[in-house]
Amino acid sequence: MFADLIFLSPWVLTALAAVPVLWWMLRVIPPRPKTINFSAFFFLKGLDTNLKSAARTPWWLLLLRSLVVIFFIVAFAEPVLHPTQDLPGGTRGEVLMIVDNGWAAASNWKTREDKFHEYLQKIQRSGRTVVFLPTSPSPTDGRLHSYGPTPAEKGLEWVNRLRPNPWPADYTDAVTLAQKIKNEHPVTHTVFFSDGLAAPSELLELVQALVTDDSTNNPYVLQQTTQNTGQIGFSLERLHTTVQDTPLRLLAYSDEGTVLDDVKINFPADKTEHGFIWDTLPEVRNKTSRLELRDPPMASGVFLVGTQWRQHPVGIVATAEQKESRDFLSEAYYLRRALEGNNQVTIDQLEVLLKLPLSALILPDSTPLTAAEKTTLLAWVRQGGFLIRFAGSNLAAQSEDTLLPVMLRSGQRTMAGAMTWEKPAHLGTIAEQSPLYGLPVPQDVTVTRQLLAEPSPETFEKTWLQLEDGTPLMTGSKIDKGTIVLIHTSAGPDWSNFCYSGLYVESLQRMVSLSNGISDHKVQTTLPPLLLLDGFGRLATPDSQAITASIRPDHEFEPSPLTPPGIYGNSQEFQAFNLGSYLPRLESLKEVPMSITTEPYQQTGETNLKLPLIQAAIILLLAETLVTFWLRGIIAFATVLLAAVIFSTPATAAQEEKDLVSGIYLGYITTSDQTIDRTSFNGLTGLGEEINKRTSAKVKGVSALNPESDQLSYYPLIYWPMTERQDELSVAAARNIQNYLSQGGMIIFDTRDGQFGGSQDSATPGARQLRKLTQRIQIPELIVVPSDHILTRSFYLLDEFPGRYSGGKLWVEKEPSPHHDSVTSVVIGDNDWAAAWSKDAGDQSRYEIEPGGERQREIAYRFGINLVMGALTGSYKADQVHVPYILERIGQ
Amino acid sequence: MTQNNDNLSRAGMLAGRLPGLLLEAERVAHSFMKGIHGRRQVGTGEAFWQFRPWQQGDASRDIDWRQTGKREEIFVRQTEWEAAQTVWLYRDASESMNYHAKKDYAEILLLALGIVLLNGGERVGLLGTNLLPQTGYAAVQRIYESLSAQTHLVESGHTVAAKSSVILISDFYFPIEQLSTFCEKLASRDVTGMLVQLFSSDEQTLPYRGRVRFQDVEDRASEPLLVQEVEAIRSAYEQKFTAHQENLAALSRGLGWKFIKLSTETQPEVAITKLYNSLSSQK
Repeated sequence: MFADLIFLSPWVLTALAAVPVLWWMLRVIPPRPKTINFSAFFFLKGLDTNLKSAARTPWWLLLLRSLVVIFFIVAFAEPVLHPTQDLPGGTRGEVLMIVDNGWAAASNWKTREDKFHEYLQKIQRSGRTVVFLPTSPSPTDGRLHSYGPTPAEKGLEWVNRLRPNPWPADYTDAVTLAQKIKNEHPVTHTVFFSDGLAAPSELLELVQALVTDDSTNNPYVLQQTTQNTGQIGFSLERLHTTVQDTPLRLLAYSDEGTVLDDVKINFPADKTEHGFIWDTLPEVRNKTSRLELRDPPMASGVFLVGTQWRQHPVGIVATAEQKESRDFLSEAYYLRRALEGNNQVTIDQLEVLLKLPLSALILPDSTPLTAAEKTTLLAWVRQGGFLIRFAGSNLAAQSEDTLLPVMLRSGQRTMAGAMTWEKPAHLGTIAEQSPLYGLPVPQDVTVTRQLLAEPSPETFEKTWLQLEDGTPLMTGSKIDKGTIVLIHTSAGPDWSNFCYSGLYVESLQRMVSLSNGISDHKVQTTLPPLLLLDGFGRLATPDSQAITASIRPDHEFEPSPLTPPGIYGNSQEFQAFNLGSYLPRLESLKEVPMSITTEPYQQTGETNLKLPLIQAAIILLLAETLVTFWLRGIIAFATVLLAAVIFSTPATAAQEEKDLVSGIYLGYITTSDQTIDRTSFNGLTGLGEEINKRTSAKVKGVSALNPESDQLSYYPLIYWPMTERQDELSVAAARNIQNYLSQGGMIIFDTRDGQFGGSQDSATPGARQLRKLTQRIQIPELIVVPSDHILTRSFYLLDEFPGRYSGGKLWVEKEPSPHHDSVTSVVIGDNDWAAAWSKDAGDQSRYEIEPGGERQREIAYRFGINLVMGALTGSYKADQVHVPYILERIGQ
Repeated sequence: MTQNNDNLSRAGMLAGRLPGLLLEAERVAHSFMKGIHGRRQVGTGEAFWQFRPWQQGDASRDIDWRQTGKREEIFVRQTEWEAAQTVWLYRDASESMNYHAKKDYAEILLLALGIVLLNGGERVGLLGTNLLPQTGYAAVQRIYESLSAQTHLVESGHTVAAKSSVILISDFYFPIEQLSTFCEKLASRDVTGMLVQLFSSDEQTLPYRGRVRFQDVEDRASEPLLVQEVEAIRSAYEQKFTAHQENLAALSRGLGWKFIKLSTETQPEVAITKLYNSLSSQK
């Protein structure tokens, strides 16, 4: 074990020679005698005073003292266990640290940082200075910059600020710069901290040592491969195989930052590439704004969705009168019902619709269009719009119409009616070339009237759906960039019962999802950066110092300081540029020249034993003192024992009991859901920190409370989140809470469902739960918090009370009892405040705030502070409101 | 002064308990009713001694008519013979007595004894002072005031009359010869006595450790004694201590006196009972 123990100051060990001398001195020089005035001196006379018993100083005491000395000497010789090799290159000059900080370095960045620190220690030990050379261009000017030469301590600060960038390394510049540094400075050792990706041999030639290992340098790249409706294929690529299968988690996030899906992937051990299908509901897919590899957190593991999966807003063209109508027979009604589940549907006049960013327009037959309108509509289609038309009597009456995929025969075909023998037609098959291929065809759909297409060779190709007799029911054709689809029957039930079938809904949705989305048909010249990824794959607004520029969509995207991966555009129209999509195949660092020494990132576990040894010596010294005192009779043996007990008792064992009365404690009611309890705890703790920071009130802690058994009256404020699984209150619990409220306590009920909007709506689960829970408690009459309420001004001036959500109403007691200082005893809201107050950066307990972000979190803290201050100070602040009047009266 | 006053009051408290003690003694043994040490024979006294059948020559005024009336015989009432005796008290005031407050203890004991004796009708004197032997309870105050005059073990002032008693309370940490000459002189005059040796447990066991420098409190100017290791001489010390006690016992035995060892750890109440019992038991 001590085979690799070295001493940094071995000369100190010579002092060990002094230990025997000390031993001898301890024996020769006796301790100072204690003087006792003694009465029975008479008996002492004539006794042999020089008599000594055999064991004078106990051997173990001498050993103890020697150990103290030895420990101190050894400690100051600075022993180091498992020492790392000293850096070659002597003690002069500089050490050049070439550090990869491109996108791939983000994998296991912490391990890298530790290695940097270890190297800096070694550099410091060898008395040299350090020059850094990061290999990826700086975000502020897009160029490489070296740093140094600088002493290792200052280098530490620089390294701690160094972050991986979400773009590749620039090895060409790095080689040039490294050569320049070597020419200008006396570099005695060069080490290259590789990210595992291939580096040019010119760079390796400059290097004496290489730090790399497969487990640290294993970046993952996420890429979308295919997209079918409903299923999206992804591939994950990595640099090295592993020993065991790697379980990975891919989280799908919404715009608001809520986790929509958690995909678990098992990356096979012997592979570097793994494809998988993300099979999810269309609703989930539509809401997803980004997919993120949970570990390692890096830019290449984030897939930003941009617009391609997004909701396809659909417009239904209607006249002004139709717009208002809620007629069951109107075509717009059926269309709207078919589409609104998955799409944003707008029913309006054409001129209004064309101003909106829509991906598809639906033109029912009942909506007449002027010739001018038809021309603009055609222009819109030519630019990439998707038009779906329905046939009807109006279309049948028209002789000429350009907005059609096929030529139509004039007049309509009527298959069932007073004047015909024909039976209503059933649906036929869907041809393979049809975009609708794969949808199930119901057998019970019958068409009584249709418009017939002029037979031509193209008609067959343009047919998307046909009747059993082979006549087309749905035809579509491309017109420039756009598409026009005609359904040869009515959108409503007039001509067929198609509108009642599942196919009606599915085919419409399929068609809408085929529409290219809104950004394609409007060619924007440039897209400014909206949200950019950092090296760890976190989205943030562009840094004002960065040199990021707008992107021209027609130019090829290349991740660089100028254009980092991220979302470009504006909040309405944007496009995502993912790092993974633009990376070449991963190529690992190979063919390392034999002259280069290679070492892994893993720490060698160097341990400096100086401090533990000094601690041990001090403890021994204390023990020695106690024992000596005891031997000289200064203190009793019991005291020695007591001291030993005190020393041996761990400090944690003597944990202080909370003295709830001595300070302010906030309480929360526990639920059966541990996640919510943890959020409540973290939230109140975070709020407490803010209160301690900003106000003179000192919150000492947070307690979890069970209303049944805990004494509530210690707490000025109790936070009570609603969950669906809370049991009804027992009689004892209800009485306890009632007591608390009647004694002037304050409870804030949080239904936590602000995203559903409004707790006054009894339908939300939180509100139902609140009603169920509180039926045994007498809740006083409530009002929506008035603008001059104490909660709006007890510390901060507020006019809203957001939590994780905002906008919900806040209810307070209508007429608070003057016995309780007119402080409201209950506050009811739905904004999930604890989630906003929660500060814990780890895991998932820090929630994203919607829609206001950090600003909203700040307001949430302010509300929390107001709440606590209100609970603590009562009407004091309310009285402050009257100060102007009081001053006025005093003036009189 | 306050210290002494305190001693007096504590002594009073101790003595105040004694009537109860006397009552208890009365219940246990009929022998003594009055005084600390009744003669245990018929004599002129106030305490009842016994009823005896009338005999020829008994004075008719001695007949106890009540007893006679109860029985068929004539009974004569006899009282116990009592004689007041002078008890000379002494407590050692040397420096060594200050060790562990032995002197205080001794004074409490002495005064309590004085109270008891005075209550019992005895005459109490302070050895080596000019105070005349006192009678009556009120004399305690005077005894107490003269206590400070008692500095050495000498028979100065009033001579100890023959057939009286002496009670010496001291640690006797001095050569036995000094004591024996003094005692033998008294004993030759038919004076009975009691030696009460007071010691603290530290003096008995020498509980110190290691290197200790001992300073003689009796003679501050003398050279201190450096003991290299107390543990080594402890047993020799204890032997000497016990031998001294045996010498004291032998001395008192030889004179027909009594010897009592008292550790300061003994409760004064217990101590005084011990002394009292020892006083009243006649050999």
